[in-house]
Amino acid sequence: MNAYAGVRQSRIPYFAMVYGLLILTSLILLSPLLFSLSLALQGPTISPSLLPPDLSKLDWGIFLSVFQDEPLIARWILNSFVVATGVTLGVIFTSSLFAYALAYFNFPGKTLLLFVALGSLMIPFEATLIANYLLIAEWKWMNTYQGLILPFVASGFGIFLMRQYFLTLPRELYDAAMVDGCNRFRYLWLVLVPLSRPAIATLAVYTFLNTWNQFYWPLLITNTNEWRTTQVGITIFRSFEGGAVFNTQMAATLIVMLPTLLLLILGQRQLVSGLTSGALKG
Amino acid sequence: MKKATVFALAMLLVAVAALTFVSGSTTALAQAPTITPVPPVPKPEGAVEITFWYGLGGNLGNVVQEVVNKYNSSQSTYYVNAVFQSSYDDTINTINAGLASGNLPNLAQIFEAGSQRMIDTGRTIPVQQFFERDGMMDVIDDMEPAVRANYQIGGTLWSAPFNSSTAMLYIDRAAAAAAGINPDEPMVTFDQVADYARALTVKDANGNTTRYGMGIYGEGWFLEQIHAVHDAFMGTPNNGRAGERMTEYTYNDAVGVQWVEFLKGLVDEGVAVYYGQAGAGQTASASAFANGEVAMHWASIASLRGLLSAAESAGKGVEVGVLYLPRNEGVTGKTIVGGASLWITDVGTTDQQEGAWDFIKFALTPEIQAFWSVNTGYIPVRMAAYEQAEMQAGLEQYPQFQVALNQLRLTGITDANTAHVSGIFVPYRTHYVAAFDQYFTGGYASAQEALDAAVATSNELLAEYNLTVGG
Amino acid sequence: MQDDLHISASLPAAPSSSASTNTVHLRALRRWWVRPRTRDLFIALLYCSPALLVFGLFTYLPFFRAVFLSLNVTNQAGQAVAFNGLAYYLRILNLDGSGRTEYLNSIGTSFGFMLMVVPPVTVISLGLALLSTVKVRGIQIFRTIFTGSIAISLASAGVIWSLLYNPATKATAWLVDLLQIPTPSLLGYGPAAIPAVAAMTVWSGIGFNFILALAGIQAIPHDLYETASIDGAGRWARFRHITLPLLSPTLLFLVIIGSIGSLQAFTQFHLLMPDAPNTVFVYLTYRAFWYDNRYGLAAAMSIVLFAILVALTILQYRTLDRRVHYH
Repeated sequence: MNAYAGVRQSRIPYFAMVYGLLILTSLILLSPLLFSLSLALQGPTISPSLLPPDLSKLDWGIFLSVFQDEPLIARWILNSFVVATGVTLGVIFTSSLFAYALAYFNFPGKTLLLFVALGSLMIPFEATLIANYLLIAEWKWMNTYQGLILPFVASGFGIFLMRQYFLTLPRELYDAAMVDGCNRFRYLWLVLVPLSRPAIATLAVYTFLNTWNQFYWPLLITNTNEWRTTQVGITIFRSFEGGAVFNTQMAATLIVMLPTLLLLILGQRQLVSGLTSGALKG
Repeated sequence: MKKATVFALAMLLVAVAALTFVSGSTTALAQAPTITPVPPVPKPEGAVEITFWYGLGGNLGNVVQEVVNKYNSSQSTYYVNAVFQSSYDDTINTINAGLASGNLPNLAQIFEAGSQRMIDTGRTIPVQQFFERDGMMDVIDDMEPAVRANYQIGGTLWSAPFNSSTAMLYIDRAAAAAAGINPDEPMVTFDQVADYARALTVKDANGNTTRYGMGIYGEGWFLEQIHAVHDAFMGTPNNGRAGERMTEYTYNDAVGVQWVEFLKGLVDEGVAVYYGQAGAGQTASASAFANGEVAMHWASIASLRGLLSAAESAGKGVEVGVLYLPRNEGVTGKTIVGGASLWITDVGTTDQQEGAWDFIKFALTPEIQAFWSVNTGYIPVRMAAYEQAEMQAGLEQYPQFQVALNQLRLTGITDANTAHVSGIFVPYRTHYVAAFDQYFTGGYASAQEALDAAVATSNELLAEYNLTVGG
Repeated sequence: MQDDLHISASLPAAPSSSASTNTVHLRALRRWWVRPRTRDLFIALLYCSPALLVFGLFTYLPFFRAVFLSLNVTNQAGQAVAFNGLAYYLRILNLDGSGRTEYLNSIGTSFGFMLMVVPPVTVISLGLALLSTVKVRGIQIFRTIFTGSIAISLASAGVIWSLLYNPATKATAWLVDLLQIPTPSLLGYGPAAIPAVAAMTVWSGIGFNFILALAGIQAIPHDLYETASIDGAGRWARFRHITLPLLSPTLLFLVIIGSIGSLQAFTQFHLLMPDAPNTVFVYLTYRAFWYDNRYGLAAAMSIVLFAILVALTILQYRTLDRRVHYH
């Protein structure tokens, strides 16, 4: 059941049970993806089966034809990539600084600052969308990366996440470093940031995906085909009256998912795998 | 952990390799009636750029791009830059957002639900001005009357009709023949359709229904259609068409109540099945129809090709036929068209406005109209399009299309049998669909109660909208 | 990276140098400045300034404008055209005596949705995190799978699940039969629709919650467990007295973020049940904003939601933070 119980267990039924449980939960979690792959491969139909009826007639060409139908999709993926990366770097930077002040400095109004940050999470986007649009339009930042990136480079979520993580790290380390005359910023950069890699990686993945996910902001702030991001772009594959076909829609959805899945697989090592356990003993 | 990464990458590589390998051999499978979009043609040196926003996606959107390509290749003075805006709703809302800062396109495709709001932006130029100036009133005269009427508001043609369709009751001809129903007689009454639904319902030995007579979903368009068929207004005065703004919705009238009770009665009787609200409900009903799980289905005539190919690929022997929308005994009213039109805005230079107009002239030529209709299933705007060989071949191939045209031409045009005009067209449909849905899932005691509630909400909103435009 | 360090490294130096010039001239100021709390305040503000600038410009400034709009009727361009006082607020909270409670009901629906999402996603993710601490071969592959949904945007997940629930695909027909739902789709039937969207949201949230829970568990020092084992603590006791308390900051974070997130959830409602009569408050706000163009009403609704979220977060923070074990 708990963290290190498995170490001493070696009975075969135990392993069978563990693997059984792992495989079962994995299958449940993966089933929606397998389902979407199944729909994508069944050709154009409005009455697909759960599993492809004829496994020898899988329409793998659908993935290519999505690219052929919409050559701009590569550009959209690039746009999404640039924007998501920009926002992610910005958020990590601003959040670490903010959270560091909240977690380690001792000053009046700390709770207020925390709530200013958290409060930003509680304002629904409907309340700010039009005003921000007008601001960006006034600055002539329509169809630019900065217009897509800048409004999002601070995140109450990121600040809260980093603060919570910093608070789990031993405070004595900080006090000792300060006594030794370590510069505050150097401590953040040389000690906290490396120690917080799992949190930063989580924040990075979360922010990257949230940005990748955006729909209304890019829809408003871009109005040429080249500047669209993937989420706006792929709506062109949605079915319209008369042509409810699931395969292109599913294929486009899977294609757009691929870069982020790839990112996850490559970043998995940073995300977990016991990064902190060693360091924290010190 | 490294192994996992390697493993995952290997999987991806295999997937990509398989993809490129197999793709060559399987293209035969993808034989939907699609147009492969040609990428936009490059902009000629010195051409005036016209920004065109449109909201039709999927295969229909490809045909829009195709028409734009044809235009751009046909001349070099203007260049139309077509930008897809994700949906009809998002197109008009993006225009709204741009009103204050002037970020508007020169030309926009807007659904008829947005007509009043487009007029109220104060940023559009009625296309009639251009028709009059260029002495092209004969083109307006040549338009399908029901289509033209839809975009003539207060006597002015505000926008150029582009894609239009009308509503049909689809019926499985094979099932109908087996049940002794004549699917070639399209004029049907409510009672007849109820009888059809009963006759077409099939139960197995255990008493489980294997085929329902009809599939139903909540959709405001059909409420509007039924009102038009019975020459009844959706709202006063005069559906908002006679130069005066609509001030009140009245769709909780006898026609509306009868319509909802008719459908609910079929469900209660066990001869129809309710699939939920528009959107998912529509897809589900269409799919069930193609699969032979329901024998009648409500949809636009523009859905014809989609349903035909779905029925064929399902292989359950469903033959797609169409009937007029049902009505009371002795009523011979016509249905309305739904769809979208092209609006010219006053932003940009006179050159750009002229360019937008030039594109409209091109789009309304009989050749383009025939091309458009044949490839999308929409009704041609121009009567002259029927003289095109392409169009005639299309009519021959799809006799159901002629039934739709006949239904649209059953009677002369009145304000009541033309789509209503209101600033809260989209919200009203939401109110109606919500009330409809609640009634079908046990939320209201009667259709009257449900529609009264929806109308009350609609009118509260309409009063507020009219206030904001000083009406 | 090196550049970042360089630019930023000069930041903390700025206040001290400007402060030192001041001290030359003003003793009093110097005394004030060297008080650590005041000095920390200034340095803290400096550290916070990049985020504060962005928040101010793109969140709080428009928010104050929304407060103004909420007191007005607006036209479709979003400009205030008629002063409306508190009418929208009274309407939302059913204080206008009309007896129409659709907005209050939808707030209730939102809270119901939150309760259907946050506890399950937290418990399931914690369970998966504990499960994946076992040391067996190939565990990293399973961890990747458990994390997987983090890489799938809500928009993509919504599209996939909308087809899962679509009767056309027959994927959930068995569930419809099992629950004896009167419509062929879970989403078509009010009482089943919100739980169905909640299930999708839980699936979508597992990746994120899992990874944080796992990282939290792995940050717990080994020796604590070893000592406890020597003292004869069983699995449950170790979980109850070591894992759970030490994981509490993470769990607090997950609960607060999850609650805010689920009360703000809109993408999944947009994709799964766009026309449903009974929906969550945020989706009604979105409809008022995007389809009805009632920016004043939408602003008032946003502010009501904001107030609810602030109250909820303070409540959660107050009650849970006391029980959270920080190092």
